[in-house]
Amino acid sequence: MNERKDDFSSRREHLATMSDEQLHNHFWSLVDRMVLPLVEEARTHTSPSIERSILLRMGFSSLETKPLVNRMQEKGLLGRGAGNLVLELAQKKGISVRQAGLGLIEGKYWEEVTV
Amino acid sequence: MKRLAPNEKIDVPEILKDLDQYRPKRKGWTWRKPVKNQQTGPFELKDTSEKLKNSVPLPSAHYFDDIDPQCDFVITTEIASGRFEDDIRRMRMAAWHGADHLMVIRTAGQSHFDGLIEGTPEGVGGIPISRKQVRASRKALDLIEEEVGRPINFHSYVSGVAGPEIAVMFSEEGVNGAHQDPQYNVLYRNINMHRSFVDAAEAKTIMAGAGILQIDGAHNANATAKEAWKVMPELLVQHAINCAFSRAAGMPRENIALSTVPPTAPPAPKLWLDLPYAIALRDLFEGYKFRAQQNTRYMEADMAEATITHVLDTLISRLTSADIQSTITPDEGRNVPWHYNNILGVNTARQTLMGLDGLMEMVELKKEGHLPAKARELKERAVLFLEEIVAGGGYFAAVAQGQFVDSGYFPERNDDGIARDPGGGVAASPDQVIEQLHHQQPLRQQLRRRQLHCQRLHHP
Repeated sequence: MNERKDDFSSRREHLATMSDEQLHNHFWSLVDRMVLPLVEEARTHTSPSIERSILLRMGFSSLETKPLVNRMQEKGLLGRGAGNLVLELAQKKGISVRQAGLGLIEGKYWEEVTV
Repeated sequence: MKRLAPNEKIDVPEILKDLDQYRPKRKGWTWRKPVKNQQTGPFELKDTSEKLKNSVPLPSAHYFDDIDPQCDFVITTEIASGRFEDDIRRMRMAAWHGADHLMVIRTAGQSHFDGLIEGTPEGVGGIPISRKQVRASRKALDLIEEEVGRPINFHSYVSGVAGPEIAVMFSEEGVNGAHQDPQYNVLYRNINMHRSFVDAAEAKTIMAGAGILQIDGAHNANATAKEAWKVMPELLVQHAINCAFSRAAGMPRENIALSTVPPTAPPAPKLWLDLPYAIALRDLFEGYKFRAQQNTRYMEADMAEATITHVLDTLISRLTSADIQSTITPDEGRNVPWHYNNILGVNTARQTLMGLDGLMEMVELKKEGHLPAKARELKERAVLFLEEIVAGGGYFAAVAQGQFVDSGYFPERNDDGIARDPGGGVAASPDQVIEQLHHQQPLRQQLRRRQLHCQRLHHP
């Protein structure tokens, strides 16, 4: 930011008449406005770490989640969710989630996993 | 599992035995149980909590029938040996001396590991936080807390590029508290800001499900700023960003703790500067928890000088409020702390707080004059800071322009803030933040529900 002298006394004029409660409410309404787009991006996006964390919660180890997510990422599939892909594959083939995930790590079933 | 015997060392092979089968006995954060007007030896104490079964009293206690009152604040010490078998010995010492929040520092550079670390590698300035290290430490702590007779909160860091995975591991392994603040990633670790906030939302959701107490990262601005007292308006903003983002992710207010440090040290007029700031913070953030940290910014190699500053920091906690009083080892300004200095730091806080017992029944803070006027000014400066961010296009644009950690006292600007490129930093490539297709949402929600259900089983 460009250098600027402390102009607090003039800049604060619109705040001077606010009660403490009004000032607090103004503070939090500005915070909420600022955070809203950050929350929206988080709600609609994912990342490799999030996808690995989902596979961890489905019972895979960290040594298994890494190659699974890497491969899905290479194939442009991660937006569908690593957990979803493994779960849907398991349901489609009538095998356990674990068998589906381990199969993918071994290079099997990829032709059945699509966007 | 065999209980610890006070005169025997922790048996490390016993800790490692059947570790793959070990599960923590509880989850979530535990506060001390306050006891008002507690009779302790010849004294009736006002601000104490339940006593320990086994402990080491303060050095002067042998003049007072070896009484060992425990203050009402949770007491933190930071453990940073680099080896878990050494960490657990330090933890046991600290627990005997009255600490119940044991914060394990991570090895240098773990923030940039894209995934979990496995095994028991040795670290630098802290341990590599792996599942095995965490589980071994938690197992030891489960024994230590039985030995001393008070639950111990185990704590580490959910930050860096693997935050969601670390949050899952922590929730499974019984970690009770964690730092989580995407601003830390952005400002101090140069991790891509989009990735940091997207990951943080998931990590916070997981932490909320496990009842993990979150501590934010605002104290890093104190430690980084050229003139720490000038960053006070921004600190209010940094706390607020993480609080609002955490609540949006589903974290309850009572599990969100602000990491707050009195910014200055003598010969600066410490209370004149720091006390109004402490008041402003507690006014604006009513209902949140306060983790009061001691000052690190102005520590050098003189341990007595550091200790005196830390006594004044603790006085500010008692004059205002704190839920956790975190301690800093007085040698941290020059090296990775020695064992003994963990105890010295804890004793500094305990000795101060016991000496101040009942203070607020005798004195009150003025409602007129410098104290409320300065608190109001700080809040107004923070509001102006926020207005400028909103008018300038939001948080990412503000970081790109170097709005944060500028040495000017806002609205003053010195053009020396930390600027980060929204499209740059670690994990910045386009495939690191991916738009979700809508049919992914149900599984993530289901996993969250399942996690919450598991948590309810642990906390009937």
